[in-house]
Amino acid sequence: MMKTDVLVIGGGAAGAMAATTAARSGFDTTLVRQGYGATALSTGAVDLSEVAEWLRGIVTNAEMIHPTVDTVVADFLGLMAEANYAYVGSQDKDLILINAMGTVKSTHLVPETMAAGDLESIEGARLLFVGVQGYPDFDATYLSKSLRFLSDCGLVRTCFETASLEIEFPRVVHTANLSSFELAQLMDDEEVVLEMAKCVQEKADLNQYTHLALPPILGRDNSARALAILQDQTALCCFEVLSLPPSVPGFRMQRALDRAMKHRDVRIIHASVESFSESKGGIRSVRVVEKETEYVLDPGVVILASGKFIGGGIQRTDRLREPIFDLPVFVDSDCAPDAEMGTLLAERFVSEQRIFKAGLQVDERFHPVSPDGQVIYSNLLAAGAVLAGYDYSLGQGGLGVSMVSGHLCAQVALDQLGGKGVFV
Amino acid sequence: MTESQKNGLDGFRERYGPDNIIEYTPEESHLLHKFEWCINCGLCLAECVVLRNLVTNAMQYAGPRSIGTSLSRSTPDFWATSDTIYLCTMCGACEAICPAQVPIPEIVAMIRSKIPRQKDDLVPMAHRGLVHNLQESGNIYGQQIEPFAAVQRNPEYVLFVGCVGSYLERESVEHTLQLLERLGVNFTTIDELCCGGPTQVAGVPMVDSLAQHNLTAILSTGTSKVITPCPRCWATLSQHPAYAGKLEVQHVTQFLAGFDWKAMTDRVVTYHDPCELGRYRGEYDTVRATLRQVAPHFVEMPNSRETSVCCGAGGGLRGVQTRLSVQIARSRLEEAMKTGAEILVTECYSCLHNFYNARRSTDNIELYNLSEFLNVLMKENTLAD
Repeated sequence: MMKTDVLVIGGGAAGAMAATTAARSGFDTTLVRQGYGATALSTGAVDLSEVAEWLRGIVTNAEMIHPTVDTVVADFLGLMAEANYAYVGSQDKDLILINAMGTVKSTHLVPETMAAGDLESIEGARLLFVGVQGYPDFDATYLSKSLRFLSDCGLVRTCFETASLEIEFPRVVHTANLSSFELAQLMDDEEVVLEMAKCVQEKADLNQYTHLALPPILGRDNSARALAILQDQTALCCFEVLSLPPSVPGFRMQRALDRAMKHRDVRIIHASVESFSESKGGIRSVRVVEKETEYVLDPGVVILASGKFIGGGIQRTDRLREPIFDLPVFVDSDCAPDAEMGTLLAERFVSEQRIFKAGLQVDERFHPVSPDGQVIYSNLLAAGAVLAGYDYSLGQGGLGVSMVSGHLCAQVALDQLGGKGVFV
Repeated sequence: MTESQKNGLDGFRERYGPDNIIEYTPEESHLLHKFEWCINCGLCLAECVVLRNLVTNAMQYAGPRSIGTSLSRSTPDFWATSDTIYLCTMCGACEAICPAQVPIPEIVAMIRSKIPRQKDDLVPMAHRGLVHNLQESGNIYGQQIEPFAAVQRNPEYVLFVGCVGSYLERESVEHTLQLLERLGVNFTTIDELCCGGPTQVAGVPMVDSLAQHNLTAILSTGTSKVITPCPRCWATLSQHPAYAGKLEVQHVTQFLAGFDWKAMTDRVVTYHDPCELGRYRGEYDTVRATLRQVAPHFVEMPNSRETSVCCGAGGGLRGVQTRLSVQIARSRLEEAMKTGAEILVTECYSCLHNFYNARRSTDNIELYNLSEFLNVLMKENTLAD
């Protein structure tokens, strides 16, 4: 049996924030995950606007909400800087970013590669959208047109001009169905970035523009370097546009979180949780299996951060279930174990779908509770998308909720473990 | 006219007539259902080492996502076009990060196993010769291989070296033999043939005579305990139905776990996880525990353990596309050198050999299998005493 103070199940934004927070306080921390989930598939931009409202539904002390979010933001920015993937932003300023569908989105924390694209701060800018031949997920001509429309109609507050061009990407031999990851990995090579800058310069008179708007392909591992070279070569502000999944910035963020966890000595095990045992109202042991290697963990506190439908934390079959501990699943505040799926789904695709709010109900210390409000396991906490009451598909704050709840769970865990660290 | 060129209605009838209906075993049907877990998210494209190295290349590769979503339910003509399915290294990096845990290497193995039965002429040359070589010579190279001389009567263990070590990395094998002798292990080598494992990678039928020969040779020594340094041999001898649980097989890194090493190096050492030890079997910690004992300056590469990167030799790629295979090894070797490591340790002859293929004479890095490295260290320490 392997003793660990804090066992985190799930390695996305919620799990990573919980694990790094616990590990920093000197607690022996183990994180079990199986594959990547919704964090790696996200745009990489962190929304915070609905976090406070969501948190008011859980914690009683409303005054601590704003400072808590500030702490988490500072923590996250620190982690990302440590992992060499710098983020910028705060909860107090909305950033308005363009996405690859030709619409805009407000958000709060973004990687440095996206920062210059904040439409609120580029009044009078002249944007050149740069597409890549054979890369279908970024149509520069369409984006240019659609953004100019938004600007002309006053649908965004700032006025700007747009233009577009398409380049043949350096070194690419076949130009059909390129994926963003193929291009991003090429751009980890500085020579390729230089060649790309040259392609752009040859195709347009860059003096006419102030900004280059690029697909999010500025390197898988080395994006800061690629950004710096491009800006240096073109003498323009460059930024990446948000994209649909799979998005390189989301993947970069996941990898940076992984690096941050490794820096803080979080033990990461890629395995599935097969079973657990309980005693005295708590989780006693958790058995996880990775291929032929089995670990039996003896955790002080367990933080469940297993995600929702993509991560597999909540599964939908004929009913909704939480597969690891078989905890009761709620929709809104109703327990919904036998809920008719039809009642959870609306007929119109873009309307509110109740099913996205499904998840675990927790008390104010993030313990999952039963329908009568009783704590289920004294040392089990839950964070992130596995929680009920938040619609990540329409809402503004999926990653934000995950980070804040992950952080708070770690705080509760530390409190429960008595602040002593290493095998209390 | 080759199989794949038969056109028209006759060709169609011949190909899809009652005799040619694709049959799936219950296990294969079960696998097919697993492919349907794919949510088409495309994260696998970020981890695929082949895709990464092919974008600047005239070859095309559909990538792991297509293997799950479309190749698994299309016809043989499509499977083998442009060598697609044969470019996969079966390293499992995609599966490790897959949100739906789609077992892509298993899918590749299954698809490959269908091709020879239906359209033999679409099998790449490198794999086509395999069965012939195995039947004629008993090893994958179709060459005479000199057996190792460490033969003991009444041994406690049989050391099963495997083809790649016996043919391509003999110096490394000699060190492993010396190490076991040094440790006083009562072991023997045998007159071995290929374990048959490569047939699974190539998708060709198992050559049963190999397993029969090896089983007889091993069991006639009076023991059923086997140690092997080759991860593929380890998997085959312990898991393939042809050996059906008759042997007690340990990978050499597991065997070496219990020893107290009286040797040490001050140099910086890093470790490359062979896919078939790590991602295939979950063996990560045993080797590291041993290495940390002898190398206090042990460092990890940025991509290690579950997110380790294939050496480029996996899935038979070295035979099918040598240049690509070496290009992949080169990028991994550069990753190792960037950590400041002076020594790269692994424990798989195939990985080791591919790193030698990719190493340049000016590179300041030494390459070893773990058992070889330990022997070299102990030798140095003895000399120092």
